Amino acid sequence: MSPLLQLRGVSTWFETPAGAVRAVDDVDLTLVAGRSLGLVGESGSGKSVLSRTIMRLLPPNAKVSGEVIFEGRNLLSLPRREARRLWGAEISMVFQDPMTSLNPVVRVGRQLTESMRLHLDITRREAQRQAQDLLAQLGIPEPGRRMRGYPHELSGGMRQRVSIAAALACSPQILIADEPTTALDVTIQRQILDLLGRLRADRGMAMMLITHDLGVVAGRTDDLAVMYGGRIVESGPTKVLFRTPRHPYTAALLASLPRIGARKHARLETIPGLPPTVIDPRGCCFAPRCQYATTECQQEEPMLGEPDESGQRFACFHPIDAVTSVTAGAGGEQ
Amino acid sequence: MAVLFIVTFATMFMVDLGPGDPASVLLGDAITPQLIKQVHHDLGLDKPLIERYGSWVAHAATLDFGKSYRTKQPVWSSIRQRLPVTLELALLAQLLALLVAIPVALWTAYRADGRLDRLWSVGSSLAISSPAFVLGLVLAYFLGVRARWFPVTGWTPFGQSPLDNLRGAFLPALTLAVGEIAVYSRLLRADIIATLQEDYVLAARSRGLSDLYVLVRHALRPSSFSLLTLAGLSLGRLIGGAVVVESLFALPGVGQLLIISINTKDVLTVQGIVVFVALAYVVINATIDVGYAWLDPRVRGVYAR
Repeated sequence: MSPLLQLRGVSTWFETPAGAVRAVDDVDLTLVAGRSLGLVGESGSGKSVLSRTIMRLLPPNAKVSGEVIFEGRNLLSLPRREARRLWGAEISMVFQDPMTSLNPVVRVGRQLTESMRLHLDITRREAQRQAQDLLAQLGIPEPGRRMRGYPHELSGGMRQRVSIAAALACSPQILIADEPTTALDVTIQRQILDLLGRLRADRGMAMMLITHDLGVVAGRTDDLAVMYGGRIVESGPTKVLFRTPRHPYTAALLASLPRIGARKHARLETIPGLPPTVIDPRGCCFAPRCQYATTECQQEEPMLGEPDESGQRFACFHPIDAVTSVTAGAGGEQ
Repeated sequence: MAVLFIVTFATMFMVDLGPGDPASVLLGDAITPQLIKQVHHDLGLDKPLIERYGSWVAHAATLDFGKSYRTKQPVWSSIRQRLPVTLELALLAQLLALLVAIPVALWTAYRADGRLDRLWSVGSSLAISSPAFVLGLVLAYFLGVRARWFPVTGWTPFGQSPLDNLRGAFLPALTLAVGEIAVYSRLLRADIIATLQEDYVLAARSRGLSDLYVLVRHALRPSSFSLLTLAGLSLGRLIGGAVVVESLFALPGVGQLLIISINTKDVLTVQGIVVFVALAYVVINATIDVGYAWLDPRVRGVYAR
């Protein structure tokens, strides 16, 4: 259980004319070698900004504080030149939309091999051979011909396989997948998720799977972190969180999942209200939408507690207790 | 085609409306009403405008653009004679403009709002707003008269001495290029900045590729579409003759021919130049389409396979 990537007090905010918008707020997160971590939250919860913070892909008006430690080095303060040696080689990223994450005017082959030739110091021929093998491994028919072609000749699912191949080209230890299936057809989503799971297991890679869809992480990730308003509100082993969510937000998210065996035409549960505006937040950011909220929640900000014996942590003054939560979160995964 | 008719007729009509008479130019001092009448008859100028236009169209359809009133030389051959000068000037100006504009655009987009970017933004506004005759004079004064690096006027054919030819062409080409550099670099900069926000650029950076590599090998090409269009249009404009610059540097190009022809009411030569420019635009537009296909495989996809 050695931590491979450790986020300590990571905050990201954007300087805008309206004031500083805090997209990620004091996040602690640990990615363990060879394990998968699901990062779940609704739109605007800051999960994509967090992934881009780790990869230093933020626009110039973004400010970042905190540490992202990889092999004893802080990725956020490392000189770019040194950080570049890790990107693609040790840590890589798969983007949400394969329609936009591959360069339309660059041949597939070059997009796969350019990072290999940079990081692995191999000949063009060798890189091409490896890339071709990789495409075949990822279930792409006629990999040789695909390499010579352009992304627009491929379907969405095939493109996402190519972007995954590009991310995995140098066999990184960590893969960050930012909503890798959101832009795909439902039937393809499952294929891509299974593929990612298989590749991760085969390569002993650690993966951070970012999604707004709890159904995606159910049964696919070892650990889970729930994000809301730029903060981690609850984290722990996926199974534990699905069985006994302690934070009302996690419980509400689970309750909003459609489940098999429910009464026909039953309405899906929704969470009333909208995610909070992130300019100058005060108190618990979920309080306005929380049925358990008290004045205390509006005044003070609950901190993420120490992990209990099952590894679960939550940031709430009025957690759902283990007994009632069985009903509140019933039917999640099991 | 319809455009060609409208443009050529309008040209003839306007030149005809203007003051002056080709006969008086031809006859010089020895001018009598009798002789004027004679010349008008010889040139067919005694016929009505419509009839003259009709006969011009009939001849033009067989690629016969008539003879100049002034020199009696076939119009086509006098254009062809001057074409190398104009063509070289146009291409050289484009080359210079792109050579400077592309690296500058890359840098100012990469370091947007940096010191050089701000400086360049001021400088390019200045360049765009300074007319060619002022700019040409300034450049000629400093680089030609003062520094003596380049000749200020005249033209050496390329075949005679390539080096002298290029030296002579440099100042006028630079004069033409300055405005283009300013426009091209601003346009390309804006497009590159937009491209740098694209996911595929972020993805390329997330693979550890260097900033320079990402800029040149990933961002430049998809950002060049509007530059290609603009460069094509401006090449077409320059092939029609850079009137001001050619006059300023006394270059025997198409622009100079146009000015002389208009002043001497040499309608047929003006017509010939107009048709030539129109054709040049057609050719250039076709070339731009080929350029798109080269830049963007999605356009190409239609023909391939």
